[in-house]
Amino acid sequence: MPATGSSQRSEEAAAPAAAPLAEEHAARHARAARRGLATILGDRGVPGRQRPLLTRLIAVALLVQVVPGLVSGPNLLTLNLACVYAMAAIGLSIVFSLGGFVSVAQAAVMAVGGYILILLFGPTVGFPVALLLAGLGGALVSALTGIVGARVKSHYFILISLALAETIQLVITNATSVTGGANGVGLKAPASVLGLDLGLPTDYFRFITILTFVVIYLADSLRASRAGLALRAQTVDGYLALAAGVAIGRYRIMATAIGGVFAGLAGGMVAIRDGYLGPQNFGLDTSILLLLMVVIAGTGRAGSVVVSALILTFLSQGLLTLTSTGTLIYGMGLIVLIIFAPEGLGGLPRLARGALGRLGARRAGTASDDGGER
Amino acid sequence: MSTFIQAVVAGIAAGAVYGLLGAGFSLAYKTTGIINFAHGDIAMLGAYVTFSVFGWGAPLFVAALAGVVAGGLAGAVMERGVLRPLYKRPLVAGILATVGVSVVLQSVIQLVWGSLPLTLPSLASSTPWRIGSVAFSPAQAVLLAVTIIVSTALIFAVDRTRVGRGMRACAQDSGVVVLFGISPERLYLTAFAIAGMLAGLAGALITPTIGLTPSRGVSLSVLGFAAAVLGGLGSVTGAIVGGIAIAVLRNLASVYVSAGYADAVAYLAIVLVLLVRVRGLLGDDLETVRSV
Amino acid sequence: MSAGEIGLELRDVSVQFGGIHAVQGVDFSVAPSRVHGLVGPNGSGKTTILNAICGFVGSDGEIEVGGARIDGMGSYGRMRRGLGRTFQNPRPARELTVRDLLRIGEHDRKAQPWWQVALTPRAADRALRESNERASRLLAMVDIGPGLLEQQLVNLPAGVLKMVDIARALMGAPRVLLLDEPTSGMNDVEIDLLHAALRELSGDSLTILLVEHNLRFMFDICDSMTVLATGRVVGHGTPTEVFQREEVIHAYMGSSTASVHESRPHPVEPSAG
Repeated sequence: MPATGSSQRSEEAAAPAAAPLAEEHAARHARAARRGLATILGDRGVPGRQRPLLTRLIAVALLVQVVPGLVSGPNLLTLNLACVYAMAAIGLSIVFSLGGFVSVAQAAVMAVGGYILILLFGPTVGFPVALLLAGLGGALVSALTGIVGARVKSHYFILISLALAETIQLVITNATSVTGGANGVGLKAPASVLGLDLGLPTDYFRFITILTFVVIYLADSLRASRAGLALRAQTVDGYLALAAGVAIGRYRIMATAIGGVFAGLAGGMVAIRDGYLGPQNFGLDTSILLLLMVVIAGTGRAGSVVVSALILTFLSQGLLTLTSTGTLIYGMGLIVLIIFAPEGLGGLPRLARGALGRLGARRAGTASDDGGER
Repeated sequence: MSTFIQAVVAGIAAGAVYGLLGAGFSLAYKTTGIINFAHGDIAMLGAYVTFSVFGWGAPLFVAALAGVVAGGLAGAVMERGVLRPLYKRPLVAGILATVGVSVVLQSVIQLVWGSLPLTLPSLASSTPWRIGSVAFSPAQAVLLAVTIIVSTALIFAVDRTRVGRGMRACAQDSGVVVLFGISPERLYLTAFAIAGMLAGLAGALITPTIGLTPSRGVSLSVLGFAAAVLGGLGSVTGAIVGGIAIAVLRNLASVYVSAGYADAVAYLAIVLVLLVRVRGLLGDDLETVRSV
Repeated sequence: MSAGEIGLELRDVSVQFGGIHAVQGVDFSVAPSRVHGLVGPNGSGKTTILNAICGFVGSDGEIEVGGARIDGMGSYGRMRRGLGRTFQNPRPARELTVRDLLRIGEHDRKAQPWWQVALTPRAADRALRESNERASRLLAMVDIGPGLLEQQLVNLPAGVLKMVDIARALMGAPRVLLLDEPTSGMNDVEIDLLHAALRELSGDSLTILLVEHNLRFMFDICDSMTVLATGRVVGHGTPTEVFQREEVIHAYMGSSTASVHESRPHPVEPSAG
């Protein structure tokens, strides 16, 4: 292991190294500027840059065009729910892997967004405004946990989020005149946006896909930004972040607020999907499901959270609504997944690559090239 | 005034059981750092086993002991089977695995006993004694007495025995206990077994009041967790005090604020306590400070 | 001394841990472009002083950076005022690369709102490019090639990690740099490189406060020194002066070391080094 570092260092000449390097960067910069499209395509020349925007746009367009023709009926409804959960889970992954908070209140934050939308949206307040307010409401409530959480130690945060979640449930159940209590409340008007009738599962899918991609893009931007780096550093080593002049508390609150925006939007979209909201939509089990999506995705990018959201939503919808045998299988499945996929889904490709690499090496009769990463 | 005293007295009796739940929760946390969301489901399992053994004709006392044993076994199996491979992983993996266990236990209970609510008689009569206008039943007295005996024994065991001291050392640094000739794995197993037994006991004690339903475990986990945190994670005495404080608060809130918001008031109080006193009421500061 | 000439000044700084004085009444000041060393046996409070300056531990007394009081501020505010520090044992954060660490170090130099990456990727790219160049230049100072930027921190040898941590502190363009045991874990070649780099940096009007066990290194690089024993200052002076004073040797070596009294400067080379 030490060999890598020292050989690299001895290969580089001491003082002159800086000058050619600067030139090289300048040249690269010029090339990128000449290409023009560089920023949209993503400049592979600049390390640390995130995935190209154009690829994402093409992916959205394809999904929006193709999927509604292939999937229909209950599967499409579940797919829509998976997208909603994916948005909330991406928000939670920001709270978790950037903020460093283990929260079991994400479903409750969704509830706030959901009820804001369902109560406001109507003839007077348009859908886009109501949805934005749902996101804002989510941000405020989630930031509240961050403000309290930044002052207490890590394990206590779980209880604080639990307290918030249970309190929101109680408010929903007890404030019957506003929320309809356990009976729930219905959507006042059909929602449509961008020429899409959100009452139709197909159009709903188109809109939620676009929204999910926006959320992914924002989340990845946050991770790639210096604020995101500072937040990642802070979860590993608070003193390092302090030494770098990071205002840790402020940043952690920011992470919870951003995570809350996504959850608020997701909550609003639940209301649109079902046309109705009740306290059972946002129970502790939903929060736990979201946390599982994040952990099973690994600490990786928003994309892998979407994949685990898809898998877990279909699993839970398939198994939990059936018998207690189904629940049993679900519970066992969770345990097995947590034990045997240590890095979550994000780690699976690497596990596979490692296995393939070993296989290839054995076949070639050399064990020399087992990938430079390890 | 008498309503106030009544609320406090009833709170103390109910809180004693929350305290037992919290003590087990705390013990497991103290040794392994894992927050056990299956704790309440283990309590429910203990209660259901008590129910069945009692139904076969055993005296209630013996049936409750069977419930305690079942709880201990469940704790031990859970530690061995599920948590052991996860100690080297981030804590959240272990915590979520306990959620998985909770789901499994719930569905097992449903498969064996069905999902309809059942009732379990309590260890003593619930016809109250009246002292002035305050009522206190023999059943409540038994709850309190059992809690006092068990928690005293537990505090003694944690403070005085080698294993108990090992558990405390383990919380600080699991490497250290190896030097004392105690295997950390053994400690983890013991801690979860004892925590399971405490949960089983709490289950057998509390279900005569709250009834037996498979899904009830989650709320018991939450109560145990809240008691443990309020008292200061890692302290047995703290958990008992925390449990009583929560029950008294809930009772007072439902009398003076609103029954619907009783839990919310209790939670608010917990959050305030944590903000003012970060370690909980009686907690020792376990989080090791990094040497910069 | 007028205020403009002072890089770092401590006046009557004390730190208490639960009633025990870890540091008591410490005074010293360091001019810009100077390297000042803190020496003393283990437990004499050297690192605690660094922590007090950074605000990692609470302290009494006055602390000034560039003539402005920083005590009473949080760590974040102090770093903004031009402090930088390194760690004795940098924790190699998992999944962070050298580049990531260096960008974190630059954190406060220019505020970059996170949405810049989302809304104006071109500007964000430019900022990224600049920071990459700065990082490469800093690493080149200590003979580390830009290839290392892509390395994961966990894969670095101890000495290189220390170098990278120093570069991280420099990315914030500090006026006062606090170094905690920089040479521990470094080999002789690396120590020489560090020596040259620190000289060059201090020539660039950087004030350096150094805590170090390697007294040879201290003797060579420091312009002045403060000697500590059990949290109190027992002497100030140039390295040559300091190492000749009886009470310093006494404080350092303990009481029963009569033979050392006649020895020349830099008498102790820790056996570990």
